[in-house]
Amino acid sequence: MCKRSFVALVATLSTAVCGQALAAPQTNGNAFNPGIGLVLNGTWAAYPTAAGHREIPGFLLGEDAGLAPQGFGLGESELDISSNIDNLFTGFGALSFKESHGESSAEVELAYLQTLAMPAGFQVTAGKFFSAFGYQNARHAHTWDFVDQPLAYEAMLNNQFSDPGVQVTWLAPTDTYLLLGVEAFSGDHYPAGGAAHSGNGASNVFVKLSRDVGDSSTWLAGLSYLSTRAVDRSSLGSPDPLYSDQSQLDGPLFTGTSNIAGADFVWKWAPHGNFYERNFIFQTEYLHRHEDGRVGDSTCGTVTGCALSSAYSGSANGWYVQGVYQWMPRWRVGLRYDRLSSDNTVTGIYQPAQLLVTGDVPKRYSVMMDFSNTEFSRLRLQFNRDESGPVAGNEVFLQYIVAMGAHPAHTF
Amino acid sequence: MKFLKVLLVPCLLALSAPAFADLNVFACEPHWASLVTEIGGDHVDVTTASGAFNDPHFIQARPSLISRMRRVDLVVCNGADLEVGWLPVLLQQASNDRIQPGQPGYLDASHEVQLLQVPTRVDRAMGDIHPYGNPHFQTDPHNVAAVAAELVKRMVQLDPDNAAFYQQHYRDFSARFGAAMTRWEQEAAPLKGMKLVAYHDGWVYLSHWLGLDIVGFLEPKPGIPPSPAHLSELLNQMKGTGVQGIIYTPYEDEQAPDWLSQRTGVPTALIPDTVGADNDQDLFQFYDLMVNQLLKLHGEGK
Repeated sequence: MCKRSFVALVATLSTAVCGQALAAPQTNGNAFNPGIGLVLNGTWAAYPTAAGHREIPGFLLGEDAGLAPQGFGLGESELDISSNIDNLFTGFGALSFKESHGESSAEVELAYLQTLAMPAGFQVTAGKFFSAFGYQNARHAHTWDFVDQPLAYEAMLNNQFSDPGVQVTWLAPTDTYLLLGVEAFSGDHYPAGGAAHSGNGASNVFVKLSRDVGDSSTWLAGLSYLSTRAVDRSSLGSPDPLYSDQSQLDGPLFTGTSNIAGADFVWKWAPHGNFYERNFIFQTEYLHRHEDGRVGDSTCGTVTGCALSSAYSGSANGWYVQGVYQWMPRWRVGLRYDRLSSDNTVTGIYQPAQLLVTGDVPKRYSVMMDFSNTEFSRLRLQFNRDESGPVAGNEVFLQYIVAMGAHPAHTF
Repeated sequence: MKFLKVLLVPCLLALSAPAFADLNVFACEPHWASLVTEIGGDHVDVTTASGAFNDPHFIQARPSLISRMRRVDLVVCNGADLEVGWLPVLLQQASNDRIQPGQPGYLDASHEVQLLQVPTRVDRAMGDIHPYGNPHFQTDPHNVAAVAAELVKRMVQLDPDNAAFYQQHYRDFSARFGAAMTRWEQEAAPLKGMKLVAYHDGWVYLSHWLGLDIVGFLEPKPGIPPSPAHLSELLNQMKGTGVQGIIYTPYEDEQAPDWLSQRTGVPTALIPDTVGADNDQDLFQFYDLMVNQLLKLHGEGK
């Protein structure tokens, strides 16, 4: 028996002899349309207005740092298009769009192709993609277990690092999962900036290891090292004069190197691997960053030759630990603890307030509960006790995430 | 880089040397693993992604499965989108051109059988429906026999050195399986017309095979867990209709079936939908178990 739908057709090309055709073959070319999916993500947030102007003492934050807008907001929603291109390549594109205080913005979130059939376990990805740094970085926003990224990701990676580039991975021919990878990026996005070194401004090397333990548990561990070069990288500065829960990009400019080492560990447990009924996910990451270069006032436009500039050298640590438990189908609770520390040396007349390290270490406690009617819809309530900024505050979030149309399968 | 060493060294030691058989196979579900073993014997090495205790819709795309898939020669799965939530990730990340869809090393078993319940309209408001038809077709052994005929062709094509062995074992299996099917059908003859309520709409092929009459489901819609409102409605529906049993699989929660059973007096029974839920180690024992459980239920429910 043979179905003349696209999927069936591809799968039967080399194999089955078609008996009866269930449906007439399509002739208008639609049969090869890619899978199209739309992910909608909306939030309602309540927090002290001052907390919306994001400051984490000791850190120069990228423009995506910060909280969801107060009240109702359209979070990062995403239009995904994916398809096999031919027998050698598969492709994925994602446009993300959001609206904040009446301003809509859209951006190319992802656009990459990936090889399917390289020999000897090699795989090449090219285009704009999420770096495989750490565990959380490559996860799409709609698969996050909390509304927001861990503080370490917000402070050191502008929430999530993606950039145009290329990735080569090698999967070892062993029972233990061992993946080695290198990535090279243009260096346009935070923590890089300005596409230094003629557009070769960032690179990452990583290794991932995983094994199953019995039939109920699986662990995954990884190490990564991201080295980036920033040229006149901008950062968040003063509160937005119009919307005081937003920040302006008028913080110090940075030119220099920003290198981050990361270690990650994830443990997933479900009785007999039956995730649908009950499961527990433990996740932790440690990031260590070193930045070296010069900072200059944003009014200069560029650090080089800026009168208001200083030498800056800083090291920072960030880690989080979280656990998410699904105690019955559809219902989950999660706890997360975040912590950052930094040690900066700024030598010169320009002493930006952002780099002053205060006595209190930035930290945050989060608790969330979510309900997923099916794997296509999720409603979440989250509470943060946020002690990362100059003023401690309580934050409450309500979120919906829904997926329509074709939806690519999730990675581990 | 000391922390790198601390983590890496013990892990590298733990990397076991892969054992290679003549034909390495990845079975999405245990019934295919059993079938491959029947035909391939010692010449094959089979890995199974799911078991009788987990819902095949919701398997995690575990990295160990990717590692395994990188090295196999043949992938055998139910198909018809049953594994749509995890199999594509494994195929994409395994970097193995031999087992990509369209290759001889990718056997989508659903292409070998007549799928039932093919929806004329597809809308996710209808629950977790499968646009190509109901994918739980292994509950009718005739479908497994149909897949076996294609499977042996693929095994011969991929490992011609053992062609004679595979063909011989296939003929032997077919004869035994054919005889067993006749026996199951004779044993199950009293079950014709037996009214049942099932947890998930995954039994259409079984009821088609044995002439069962599944009159309701605990799930209000496929993939949506039983709700109190739906269960009460079902409770009312079941009154005086002569339902003889409530069936559910080992990966479904027993609370709702038990609740309904207590209020209706209709007994429950665990009916596995694949090999390995009890002491059953192969397809023969699996269908034995299935038929016996139903016969037992038939006896109790009278």
